[in-house]
Amino acid sequence: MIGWYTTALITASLLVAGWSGIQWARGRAMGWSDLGALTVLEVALLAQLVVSVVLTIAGEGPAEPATFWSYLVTLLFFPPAAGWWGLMERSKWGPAVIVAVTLVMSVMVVRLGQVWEGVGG
Amino acid sequence: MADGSPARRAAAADARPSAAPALRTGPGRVLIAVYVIFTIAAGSRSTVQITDRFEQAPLAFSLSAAAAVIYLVATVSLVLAGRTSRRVAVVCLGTELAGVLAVGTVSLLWPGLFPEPTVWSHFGTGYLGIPVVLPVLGLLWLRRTRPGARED
Repeated sequence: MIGWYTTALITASLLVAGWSGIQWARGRAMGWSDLGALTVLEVALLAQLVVSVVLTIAGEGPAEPATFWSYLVTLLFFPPAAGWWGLMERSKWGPAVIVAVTLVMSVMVVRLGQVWEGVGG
Repeated sequence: MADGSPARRAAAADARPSAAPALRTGPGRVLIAVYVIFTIAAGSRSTVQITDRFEQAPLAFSLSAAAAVIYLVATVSLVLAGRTSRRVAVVCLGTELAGVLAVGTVSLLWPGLFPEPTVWSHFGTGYLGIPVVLPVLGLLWLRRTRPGARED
Protein backbone atom coordinates (compact mmCIF):
# COMPACT_ATOMS: atom_id res chain seq x y z
CA MET A 1 0.00 0.00 0.00
CA ILE A 2 1.60 3.24 -1.16
CA GLY A 3 -1.58 5.33 -1.47
CA TRP A 4 -0.75 8.11 0.99
CA TYR A 5 2.74 8.51 -0.38
CA THR A 6 1.64 8.90 -4.00
CA THR A 7 -0.85 11.54 -2.78
CA ALA A 8 2.07 13.36 -1.15
CA LEU A 9 4.09 13.09 -4.39
CA ILE A 10 1.20 14.46 -6.46
CA THR A 11 0.85 17.39 -4.01
CA ALA A 12 4.61 18.02 -4.16
CA SER A 13 4.63 18.07 -8.00
CA LEU A 14 1.70 20.48 -8.05
CA LEU A 15 3.40 22.73 -5.45
CA VAL A 16 6.56 22.88 -7.58
CA ALA A 17 4.39 23.65 -10.64
CA GLY A 18 2.67 26.41 -8.66
CA TRP A 19 5.94 27.89 -7.41
CA SER A 20 7.59 27.94 -10.84
CA GLY A 21 4.30 29.24 -12.26
CA ILE A 22 4.61 32.25 -9.95
CA GLN A 23 8.21 32.83 -11.14
CA TRP A 24 6.99 32.58 -14.73
CA ALA A 25 4.16 35.09 -14.09
CA ARG A 26 6.66 37.48 -12.46
CA GLY A 27 8.88 37.22 -15.55
CA ARG A 28 11.79 35.68 -13.61
CA ALA A 29 14.36 33.38 -15.18
CA MET A 30 15.07 30.10 -13.43
CA GLY A 31 16.77 30.53 -10.05
CA TRP A 32 17.91 28.58 -7.02
CA SER A 33 14.36 28.25 -5.69
CA ASP A 34 13.22 26.38 -8.80
CA LEU A 35 16.28 24.12 -8.66
CA GLY A 36 15.75 23.52 -4.93
CA ALA A 37 12.11 22.59 -5.51
CA LEU A 38 13.12 20.14 -8.25
CA THR A 39 15.75 18.62 -5.94
CA VAL A 40 13.14 18.04 -3.20
CA LEU A 41 10.91 16.38 -5.80
CA GLU A 42 13.76 14.14 -6.97
CA VAL A 43 14.56 13.08 -3.40
CA ALA A 44 10.85 12.32 -2.82
CA LEU A 45 10.85 10.15 -5.97
CA LEU A 46 13.99 8.33 -4.81
CA ALA A 47 12.23 7.64 -1.49
CA GLN A 48 9.31 6.24 -3.47
CA LEU A 49 11.76 4.00 -5.32
CA VAL A 50 13.28 2.72 -2.05
CA VAL A 51 9.84 2.09 -0.49
CA SER A 52 8.64 0.28 -3.63
CA VAL A 53 11.75 -1.93 -3.79
CA VAL A 54 11.44 -2.82 -0.07
CA LEU A 55 7.72 -3.64 -0.43
CA THR A 56 8.41 -5.74 -3.53
CA ILE A 57 11.11 -7.72 -1.71
CA ALA A 58 8.62 -8.19 1.15
CA GLY A 59 6.23 -9.74 -1.35
CA GLU A 60 3.78 -6.84 -1.70
CA GLY A 61 4.90 -5.62 -5.11
CA PRO A 62 2.96 -3.71 -7.78
CA ALA A 63 -0.01 -5.30 -9.55
CA GLU A 64 1.48 -4.43 -12.97
CA PRO A 65 5.24 -4.63 -12.38
CA ALA A 66 6.48 -3.79 -15.91
CA THR A 67 4.39 -0.62 -16.20
CA PHE A 68 5.03 0.43 -12.60
CA TRP A 69 8.82 0.19 -12.80
CA SER A 70 9.06 1.83 -16.22
CA TYR A 71 6.88 4.74 -15.02
CA LEU A 72 8.92 5.16 -11.84
CA VAL A 73 12.30 5.04 -13.59
CA THR A 74 11.07 7.48 -16.28
CA LEU A 75 9.81 9.83 -13.56
CA LEU A 76 13.25 9.87 -11.91
CA PHE A 77 14.72 11.43 -15.07
CA PHE A 78 12.15 14.25 -15.24
CA PRO A 79 13.35 16.69 -12.53
CA PRO A 80 17.02 16.74 -13.66
CA ALA A 81 16.01 16.97 -17.32
CA ALA A 82 13.57 19.82 -16.60
CA GLY A 83 16.24 21.63 -14.53
CA TRP A 84 18.84 21.31 -17.29
CA TRP A 85 16.50 22.34 -20.12
CA GLY A 86 15.05 25.21 -18.04
CA LEU A 87 18.50 26.52 -17.03
CA MET A 88 19.52 26.80 -20.68
CA GLU A 89 16.71 29.30 -21.13
CA ARG A 90 17.63 32.58 -19.44
CA SER A 91 14.10 33.98 -19.55
CA LYS A 92 10.73 33.42 -17.88
CA TRP A 93 10.24 30.43 -20.18
CA GLY A 94 12.74 28.48 -18.05
CA PRO A 95 10.28 28.23 -15.13
CA ALA A 96 7.52 27.57 -17.70
CA VAL A 97 9.38 24.37 -18.70
CA ILE A 98 9.28 23.27 -15.05
CA VAL A 99 5.55 24.02 -14.84
CA ALA A 100 4.84 21.85 -17.90
CA VAL A 101 7.05 18.97 -16.77
CA THR A 102 5.83 18.90 -13.14
CA LEU A 103 2.18 18.99 -14.27
CA VAL A 104 2.85 15.95 -16.47
CA MET A 105 4.63 14.34 -13.51
CA SER A 106 1.58 14.76 -11.26
CA VAL A 107 -0.55 12.91 -13.84
CA MET A 108 2.10 10.18 -14.16
CA VAL A 109 2.19 9.71 -10.37
CA VAL A 110 -1.61 9.21 -10.43
CA ARG A 111 -1.06 6.43 -13.00
CA LEU A 112 1.81 5.10 -10.88
CA GLY A 113 -0.57 4.65 -7.94
CA GLN A 114 -3.13 3.00 -10.22
CA VAL A 115 -0.74 0.42 -11.69
CA TRP A 116 0.52 -0.37 -8.18
CA GLU A 117 -3.01 -1.13 -7.03
CA GLY A 118 -3.99 -2.67 -10.37
CA VAL A 119 -6.99 -0.39 -10.98
CA GLY A 120 -7.81 1.87 -13.91
CA GLY A 121 -6.80 1.69 -17.55
CA MET B 1 19.78 14.14 -43.55
CA ALA B 2 22.41 11.42 -43.82
CA ASP B 3 25.18 13.88 -44.73
CA GLY B 4 24.37 16.06 -41.75
CA SER B 5 24.12 19.21 -43.83
CA PRO B 6 20.73 20.35 -42.44
CA ALA B 7 22.23 20.29 -38.97
CA ARG B 8 25.25 22.31 -40.15
CA ARG B 9 22.98 24.81 -41.85
CA ALA B 10 20.96 25.05 -38.64
CA ALA B 11 24.11 25.78 -36.68
CA ALA B 12 25.11 28.45 -39.18
CA ALA B 13 21.63 29.98 -39.03
CA ASP B 14 21.81 30.09 -35.23
CA ALA B 15 25.17 31.85 -35.32
CA ARG B 16 23.71 34.71 -37.37
CA PRO B 17 21.77 37.30 -35.40
CA SER B 18 18.14 37.06 -36.43
CA ALA B 19 15.19 39.38 -35.96
CA ALA B 20 12.81 36.45 -35.57
CA PRO B 21 12.92 34.65 -32.22
CA ALA B 22 14.71 31.32 -32.58
CA LEU B 23 12.57 28.21 -32.81
CA ARG B 24 13.92 26.48 -29.72
CA THR B 25 14.08 29.38 -27.27
CA GLY B 26 11.36 31.08 -25.25
CA PRO B 27 7.99 29.32 -25.62
CA GLY B 28 9.70 26.97 -28.09
CA ARG B 29 11.62 25.46 -25.17
CA VAL B 30 8.36 24.50 -23.44
CA LEU B 31 7.02 23.16 -26.75
CA ILE B 32 10.08 20.94 -27.20
CA ALA B 33 9.88 19.71 -23.58
CA VAL B 34 6.26 18.62 -24.14
CA TYR B 35 7.19 17.00 -27.48
CA VAL B 36 9.97 15.01 -25.79
CA ILE B 37 7.50 13.79 -23.16
CA PHE B 38 4.97 12.78 -25.82
CA THR B 39 7.67 10.95 -27.80
CA ILE B 40 8.49 8.93 -24.68
CA ALA B 41 4.82 8.37 -23.80
CA ALA B 42 3.65 7.37 -27.29
CA GLY B 43 6.81 5.35 -27.96
CA SER B 44 6.71 3.30 -24.79
CA ARG B 45 2.96 2.80 -24.97
CA SER B 46 3.03 1.50 -28.54
CA THR B 47 6.07 -0.69 -27.81
CA VAL B 48 4.16 -2.36 -24.96
CA GLN B 49 0.98 -2.67 -27.06
CA ILE B 50 2.76 -4.19 -30.07
CA THR B 51 5.07 -6.59 -28.24
CA ASP B 52 2.39 -7.61 -25.73
CA ARG B 53 -0.85 -8.06 -27.70
CA PHE B 54 -0.62 -6.80 -31.30
CA GLU B 55 -3.24 -9.26 -32.59
CA GLN B 56 -5.94 -7.83 -30.31
CA ALA B 57 -6.14 -4.45 -32.07
CA PRO B 58 -3.78 -4.34 -35.08
CA LEU B 59 -5.19 -1.10 -36.54
CA ALA B 60 -5.15 0.85 -33.27
CA PHE B 61 -1.68 -0.37 -32.36
CA SER B 62 -0.24 0.35 -35.83
CA LEU B 63 -1.59 3.90 -35.56
CA SER B 64 -0.07 4.15 -32.07
CA ALA B 65 3.31 3.27 -33.55
CA ALA B 66 2.84 5.75 -36.42
CA ALA B 67 1.98 8.47 -33.89
CA ALA B 68 5.11 7.64 -31.89
CA VAL B 69 7.30 7.93 -35.02
CA ILE B 70 5.72 11.27 -35.95
CA TYR B 71 6.31 12.64 -32.44
CA LEU B 72 9.93 11.52 -32.63
CA VAL B 73 10.59 13.13 -36.03
CA ALA B 74 8.73 16.30 -34.97
CA THR B 75 10.84 16.56 -31.79
CA VAL B 76 14.14 16.08 -33.62
CA SER B 77 13.25 18.58 -36.34
CA LEU B 78 12.12 21.19 -33.79
CA VAL B 79 15.43 20.79 -31.94
CA LEU B 80 17.54 21.05 -35.11
CA ALA B 81 15.55 24.16 -36.15
CA GLY B 82 17.34 24.47 -39.49
CA ARG B 83 15.75 25.42 -42.79
CA THR B 84 15.11 21.85 -43.93
CA SER B 85 14.13 20.54 -40.51
CA ARG B 86 11.70 23.44 -40.19
CA ARG B 87 9.93 22.14 -43.32
CA VAL B 88 10.00 18.61 -41.92
CA ALA B 89 8.49 19.95 -38.68
CA VAL B 90 5.64 21.68 -40.54
CA VAL B 91 4.84 18.44 -42.42
CA CYS B 92 5.03 16.39 -39.18
CA LEU B 93 2.83 18.73 -37.18
CA GLY B 94 0.34 18.94 -40.06
CA THR B 95 0.22 15.12 -40.22
CA GLU B 96 -0.12 15.01 -36.46
CA LEU B 97 -3.09 17.40 -36.50
CA ALA B 98 -4.75 15.51 -39.38
CA GLY B 99 -4.07 12.21 -37.57
CA VAL B 100 -5.53 13.27 -34.24
CA LEU B 101 -8.62 14.71 -35.98
CA ALA B 102 -9.10 11.61 -38.17
CA VAL B 103 -8.46 9.04 -35.43
CA GLY B 104 -10.52 11.11 -32.98
CA THR B 105 -13.50 11.16 -35.35
CA VAL B 106 -13.23 7.48 -36.35
CA SER B 107 -12.86 6.38 -32.71
CA LEU B 108 -16.11 8.17 -31.85
CA LEU B 109 -18.10 7.00 -34.91
CA TRP B 110 -16.80 3.41 -35.09
CA PRO B 111 -15.50 2.55 -31.60
CA GLY B 112 -15.22 -1.10 -32.68
CA LEU B 113 -12.18 -0.26 -34.80
CA PHE B 114 -10.36 0.92 -31.67
CA PRO B 115 -10.99 -1.68 -28.97
CA GLU B 116 -7.99 -0.28 -27.10
CA PRO B 117 -7.21 3.40 -26.63
CA THR B 118 -4.37 5.11 -28.52
CA VAL B 119 -2.79 8.50 -27.94
CA TRP B 120 -5.08 10.00 -30.59
CA SER B 121 -8.39 8.26 -29.70
CA HIS B 122 -11.20 10.67 -28.76
CA PHE B 123 -9.00 13.60 -29.83
CA GLY B 124 -6.47 12.77 -27.14
CA THR B 125 -8.79 13.38 -24.18
CA GLY B 126 -7.02 10.50 -22.41
CA TYR B 127 -3.98 12.79 -22.43
CA LEU B 128 -5.85 15.90 -21.21
CA GLY B 129 -6.56 16.95 -24.80
CA ILE B 130 -2.91 17.90 -25.27
CA PRO B 131 -2.53 15.82 -28.50
CA VAL B 132 -5.01 18.06 -30.35
CA VAL B 133 -3.71 21.36 -28.93
CA LEU B 134 0.01 20.59 -29.32
CA PRO B 135 0.27 20.59 -33.17
CA VAL B 136 -1.80 23.80 -33.36
CA LEU B 137 0.51 25.59 -30.90
CA GLY B 138 3.53 24.12 -32.68
CA LEU B 139 2.41 25.31 -36.12
CA LEU B 140 1.66 28.79 -34.72
CA TRP B 141 5.13 28.89 -33.17
CA LEU B 142 6.77 27.72 -36.41
CA ARG B 143 4.93 30.51 -38.25
CA ARG B 144 5.91 33.11 -35.67
CA THR B 145 9.60 32.16 -35.79
CA ARG B 146 9.92 31.66 -39.55
CA PRO B 147 12.93 33.39 -41.07
CA GLY B 148 12.01 36.91 -42.09
CA ALA B 149 9.03 37.08 -39.75
CA ARG B 150 8.57 40.44 -38.09
CA GLU B 151 8.91 40.45 -34.34
CA ASP B 152 5.84 41.65 -32.49
